[in-house]
Amino acid sequence: MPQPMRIIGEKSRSFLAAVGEIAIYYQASLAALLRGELDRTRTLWELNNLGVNSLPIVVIINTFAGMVISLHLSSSFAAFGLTAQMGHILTIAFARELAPVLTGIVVAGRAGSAIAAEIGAMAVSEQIDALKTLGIDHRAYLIAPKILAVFLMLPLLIIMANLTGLAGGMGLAVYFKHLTVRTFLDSVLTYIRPWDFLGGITKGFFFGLAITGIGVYYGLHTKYGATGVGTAATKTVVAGVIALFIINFLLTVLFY
Amino acid sequence: MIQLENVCFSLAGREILSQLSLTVPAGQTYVLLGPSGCGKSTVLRLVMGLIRPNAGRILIDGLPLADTQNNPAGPTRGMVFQSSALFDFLTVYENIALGLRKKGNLTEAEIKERVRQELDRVGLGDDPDLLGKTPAELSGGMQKRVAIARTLALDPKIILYDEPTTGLDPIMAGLINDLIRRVHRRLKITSILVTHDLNCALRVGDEIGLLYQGKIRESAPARSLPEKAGPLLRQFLDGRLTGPITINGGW
Repeated sequence: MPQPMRIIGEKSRSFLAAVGEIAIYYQASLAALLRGELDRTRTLWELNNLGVNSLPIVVIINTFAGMVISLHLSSSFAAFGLTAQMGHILTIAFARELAPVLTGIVVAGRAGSAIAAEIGAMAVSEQIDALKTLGIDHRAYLIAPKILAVFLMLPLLIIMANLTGLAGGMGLAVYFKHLTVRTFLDSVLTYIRPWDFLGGITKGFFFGLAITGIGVYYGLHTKYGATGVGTAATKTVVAGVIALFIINFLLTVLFY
Repeated sequence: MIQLENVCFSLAGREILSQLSLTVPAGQTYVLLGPSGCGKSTVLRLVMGLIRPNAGRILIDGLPLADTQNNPAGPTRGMVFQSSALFDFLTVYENIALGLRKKGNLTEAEIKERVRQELDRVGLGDDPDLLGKTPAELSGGMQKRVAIARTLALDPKIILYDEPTTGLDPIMAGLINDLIRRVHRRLKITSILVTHDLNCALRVGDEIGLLYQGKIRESAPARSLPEKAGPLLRQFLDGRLTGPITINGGW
């Protein structure tokens, strides 16, 4: 077989093996959840660590993103006399795309890398093996709380991203471009459908699964000490962001 | 009793163990010596069930390894890792209690009492603040002793030790050796101990074997060493560069 074909074949095989392995993490996590085997303390800790602690950065990024988009829209729309439509366009952009994608990137960078680094450090220091020797299923004890935490928290973070992004956008339009709050909100409430928000929030569940699955995969496959831990975290962020954009495209086609 | 029958194990195309056979009678401690990278830790991981052999059988008390796993009463085998492998996100108390909670037949009060007993057994019962400390706050020797306490708490019949005295000063290493010896005698534990520390091997082991090029090449009762060592064991015990073990030949 020619060399390029062999390389493509090997890469495809390892990609499919990775996807299969990640699917097993989801299945094991769901089974642990349904059997009531999730460690409550660890799950609460992960909800706080991976979810709540991501809130400040989500709020800051989305507020400023909302202000920047509003700034661009107000200049362009004023030229066409469409300033009254700003709220509608800004909300469509935020609810459907910007809030889920920006929040997903933040969580991939912060939580995804943290998951890969923590599990990777545990793998190279034999802590995962130690769990097994104690008769503890590492997937139920260690992985399931992380998957559940990001799966639940990412949609909530997207709701916060919507609120803060739109507040930032509206604030800028009101205070700097002299649009009234009433005009802005009228534009939002007249044209926006619930699914514009719900679709974006639903994306969060898929992003959460992808980010944690990739983080856990690279974490468990970590080798070669501290360098390997760093590599696992980097690979998680890169693969997580790429996966996020691909999933986002597919869901956008499906939802809208 | 631990039996390995013609066990083969390869990793990334490299043969690590080749038709390895080994028997450790009940209540005995078998010390596995050998050059770095020759597969000593692999033997422990195979017996622990963390990896599977490519060929051959592993029997525990005459039963295939797979039949002894997932024991509802808790693991019958325990392992003390080279790095201690204490969970760094848990306190000392939680590290030891974790496996006990998994067994599910003890109340929290009983678990607390059991943790205290195990820490007493490894000589760490005097420090009242120890239970709340994290592994990062402990010395290497204390980490090893907590790791042993965590393993003993599950009442295993078999304990596997991966270089239990590596990185410790001679006094702490002696303390760990005595602890292992004392606990094994009292609880009649069967064990395999991997080490490069010859003092540890001679103090703790009942039988000492040398793993080289995938097989146990020589073994002898610990009490007969070094006098009755074969050429391989003798070279290893003396630390000579020349002899049947060649630097490029096995690792």
